[in-house]
Amino acid sequence: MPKELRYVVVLTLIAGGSAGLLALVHDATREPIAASRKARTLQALQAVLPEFDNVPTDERVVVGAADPSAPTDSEANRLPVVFMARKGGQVTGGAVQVIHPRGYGGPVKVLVGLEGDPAGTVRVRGYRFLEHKETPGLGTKALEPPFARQFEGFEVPREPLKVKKDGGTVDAITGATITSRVVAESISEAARLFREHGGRGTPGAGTPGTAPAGQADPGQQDPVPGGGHE
Amino acid sequence: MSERTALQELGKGVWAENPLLVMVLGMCPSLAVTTTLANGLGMGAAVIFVLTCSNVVISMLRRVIPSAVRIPAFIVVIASFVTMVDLVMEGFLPDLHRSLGVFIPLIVVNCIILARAEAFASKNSVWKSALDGIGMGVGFTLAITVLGGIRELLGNGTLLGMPVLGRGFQAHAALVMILPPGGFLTLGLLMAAMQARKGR
Amino acid sequence: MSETTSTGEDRRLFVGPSPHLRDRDSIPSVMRWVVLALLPAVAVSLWFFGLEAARVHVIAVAGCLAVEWACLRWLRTPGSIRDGSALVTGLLLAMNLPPTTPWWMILVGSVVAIFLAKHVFGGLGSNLFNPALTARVFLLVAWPAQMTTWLRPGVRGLVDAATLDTMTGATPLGLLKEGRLSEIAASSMDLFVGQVGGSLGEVSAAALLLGGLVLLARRVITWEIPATFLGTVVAVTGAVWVFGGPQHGTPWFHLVSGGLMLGAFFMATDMVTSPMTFRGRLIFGVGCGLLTAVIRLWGGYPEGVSFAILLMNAVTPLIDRMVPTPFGRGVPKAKEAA
Repeated sequence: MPKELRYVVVLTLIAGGSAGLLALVHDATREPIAASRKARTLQALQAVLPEFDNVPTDERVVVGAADPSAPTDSEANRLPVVFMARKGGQVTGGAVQVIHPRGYGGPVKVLVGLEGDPAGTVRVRGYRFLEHKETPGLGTKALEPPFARQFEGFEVPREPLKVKKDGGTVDAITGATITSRVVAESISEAARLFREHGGRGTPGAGTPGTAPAGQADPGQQDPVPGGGHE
Repeated sequence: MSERTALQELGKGVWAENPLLVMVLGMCPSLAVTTTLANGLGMGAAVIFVLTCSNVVISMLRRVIPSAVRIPAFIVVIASFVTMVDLVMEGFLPDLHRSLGVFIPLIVVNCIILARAEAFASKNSVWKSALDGIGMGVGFTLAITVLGGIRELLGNGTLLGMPVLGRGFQAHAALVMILPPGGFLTLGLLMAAMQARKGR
Repeated sequence: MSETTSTGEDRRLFVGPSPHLRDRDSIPSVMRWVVLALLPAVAVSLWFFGLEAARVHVIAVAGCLAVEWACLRWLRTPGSIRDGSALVTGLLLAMNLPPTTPWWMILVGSVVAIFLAKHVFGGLGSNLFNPALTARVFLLVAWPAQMTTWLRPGVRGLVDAATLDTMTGATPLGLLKEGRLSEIAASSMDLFVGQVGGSLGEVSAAALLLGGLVLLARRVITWEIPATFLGTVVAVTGAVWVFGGPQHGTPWFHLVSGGLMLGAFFMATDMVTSPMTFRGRLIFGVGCGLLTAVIRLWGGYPEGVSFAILLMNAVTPLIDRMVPTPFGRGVPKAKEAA
């Protein structure tokens, strides 16, 4: 056969063979992959939430999502998400994922765990940086005691939280004021969103503003404790 | 070119022709993922798998693939195996998958694999190509594991996550080692040590 | 090997990067004058930081000398321990460190400065980067917390870890970076004389200026680099201050804070790592000044002098290639030969 035809045939066969093989592997790994993604999100949530017996990832409110059933991609990944935690049907707390735009090295994705009642007192249970470029050893001290200790069980006021330098009450880390600000402001914002959206949603049912479970969701953002993304 | 024994085919990739330290291939993933020893091992294992499989398949098809389209053909084969590794890792080794991140798909453009396909697998028997793949893969793995180990130990005070030199050392670990400059410095010094050893 | 390079140049007339001529006899005397010129600033650092400063100076110099001796012995790079270069590097390294730097950190810095930045590249005269600055930047990235802990001036005894927190404060440039310049307690005269926090060599602009003038007078250094370096910083910060507002700091403030004086007179002027020609040095100084100002005003770090000089060190071979030298620049094109 003419050589061009030969090229086409060989490449098509190789590509076809590859595609077939990959389809098999893809099928075989689809469930383990979905399960591990869910487990990762739940693991992060477990670290910051009070006890719960529901599935918080199934009860998410993506704040400001234009079309709740649209597949969430990078644009929606920028939106804050409120995960509800319930025990025995009652709301025990929530985790809020916010993106703070002014970290030292760029935007910081913070997951804040809150406990309490959206209508009443809200306390901090813990927080994590899911994505950040803060200085390792300096800005990352914001995740460790002694700085973090001042937030354990801290009741979040309705007014915005500020560091002492800005006239507020939070003790910042020496030399890492910017990162300290990120934490204080993220906690404030998280509490505000929790109070605003936490009342919504019944256990198990999808609600307006909640993306149906099972689709690609922002909850899959890998929690990378302390790891910078270069 | 003299005939090599099977053992020599296997061994050349480990020392004399170590892909990273001697042939200076695959530097990008080496610098990027070697922030811990575990990452080095994981990446190395992935590369051994992909390299061996692609070497074998390309060798099997070497008389069939026309020279003019060999590069696209090689890439398709390599990419398929890399995708397999990516999927399997995500499903069964999620922590490692997350650590290595984007560098798993980037194995496709790891120079070592394409270089061995072009320079060896497309011109040698299946058996020899398999040995070459395993040898090169093991050599690469050893190099990046050592690299990762040094960087993790000096930069984080731990090996495989455990503070082997005590918590005191860990508290004073040199952060720079797990950042890019530390990677370059360590790799450079390792290559220098290799040169010195070989020169003898 | 073919006779012409890919750009048509005749390989036989190829000139590698500088330096080519090394005048070994005059090295010790140059070093002696540098040490002398540094003495006022060293004295000031001892006055303000007492025992901690003395400790840093001693360990840095001893460390550098020790590493130099070991490298000369085992690596056999050219040079001699008596030429004074390691001593100078040790002193300059000390001047770049905070007073409370732990002893082991100073030693690591010595190894980086002498082994990595100097001998690995071929020894005296062959290094690409300023050794003391390379060490300082390495330490800064490795241990950011300790390297940014600034003792308040006037603390003269040895400090222990427990009371450290009460005795440290922010530097003027640190305050600038956080937008808190209005809180600065030091007056302009304080900054000039040295009553501020900072690394050992950052405190007294006056003492450093004095030393710099000595070096100029003795022709150890030429005026191009300090003049253009300082001039560019003043020009850029001046423009920003006029059009942007006082929160960026006055040009005078920038002139006397941080490592600018030390950098302009003692670090950027290092003849091995700066260009060979007059024009080249002008370019070098402007580049340093520009980068320093940009990093201080808009960059992530409060001080930009170290990075600016190191970056310009990297560009120096390029400058030397582009600027015409007495040895010529490449080979004339064919049409000129016709």
